[in-house]
Amino acid sequence: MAYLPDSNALWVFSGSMACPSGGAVVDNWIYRLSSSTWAKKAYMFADTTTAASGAPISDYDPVNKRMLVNNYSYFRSWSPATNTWTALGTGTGLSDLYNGVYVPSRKRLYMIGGDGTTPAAYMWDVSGTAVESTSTTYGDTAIAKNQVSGSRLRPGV
Amino acid sequence: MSDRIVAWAGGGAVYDLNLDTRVWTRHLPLNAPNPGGDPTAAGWNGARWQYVPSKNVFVVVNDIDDSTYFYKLPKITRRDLNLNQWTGIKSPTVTSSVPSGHARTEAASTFASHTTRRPRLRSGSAGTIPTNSGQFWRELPVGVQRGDERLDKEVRAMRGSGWRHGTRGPRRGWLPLRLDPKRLLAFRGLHAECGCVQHIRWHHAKKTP
Repeated sequence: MAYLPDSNALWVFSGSMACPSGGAVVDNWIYRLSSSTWAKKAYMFADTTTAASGAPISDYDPVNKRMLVNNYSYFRSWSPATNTWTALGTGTGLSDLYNGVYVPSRKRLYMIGGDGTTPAAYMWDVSGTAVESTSTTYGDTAIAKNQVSGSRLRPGV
Repeated sequence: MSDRIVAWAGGGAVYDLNLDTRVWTRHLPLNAPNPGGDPTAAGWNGARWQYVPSKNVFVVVNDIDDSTYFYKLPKITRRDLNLNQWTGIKSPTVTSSVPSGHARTEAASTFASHTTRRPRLRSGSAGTIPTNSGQFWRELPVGVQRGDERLDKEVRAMRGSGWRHGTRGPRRGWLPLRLDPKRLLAFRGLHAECGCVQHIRWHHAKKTP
């Protein structure tokens, strides 16, 4: 889920339906705050049976006006303006235990969260070919290992 | 200051990650409001923690029936005092049920403002300004911030007692030391006559009933 400032809309992707058994879906929706209306958008894959992650890692790229989405095995972008998906590479295999934070100045999508033990920050370079790298973090790393944290970027001030 | 990733996992503590050094720093809140949240509950905090660029604040919404919490991370400026603190604002009143696919609430203007009643100074408990020594306290009304006339009056009183005030160097002026958990302003002063370094800490008076 993310706010799309250029569209003044809330983006909601995948997730689990409200049912006892859960189960991930592949839906792609936006909620336009100006008109209080929902609109269903294009699937990530034409083949909607392709497995979806229940909680993909994502963040908005304000420079290129697109959502960056790591959906477990797939790393793609979605353009609200054209309602199209673009393949960026293979996904990290990371899922709902991580938060996505895109840093435009570095052209990297950081994935913060973890397995409960490793204070790592995964980084995807989205300036060209998506390249995954992992960096160990230091200091008070309890948050870096927390599986339920929320992370956001505060640009330099 | 460079870009920072700022994270929260429930409770009052907030963390920031320096992207250059990859070092996390934990910030403990300076005030009582706590946005709550269960740091052990699986996967629910991620989208509740959001940044508002226009206000340079972070916001947490845990429940539509709970307050909305705002948090401001410390930044290195001399004028910012209400830092590292949570502020709770009552949630808006829901004016109708939420039909499928169409949520409706009142406008943001219906949020109740979180205001602090400004009390008068308590008499008799404030420390007096020493002429050449002593760490002491003086109380200011809740809400006084840097630039406030009442704080300037305190500074003028200190000057009148022989204490230097300025920003020209570490040994010539007042130095901000820290923000105290009890919402104190802390300064270090250099006495004009003997040169001894002393401390004055202003703190906010308790609310009057």
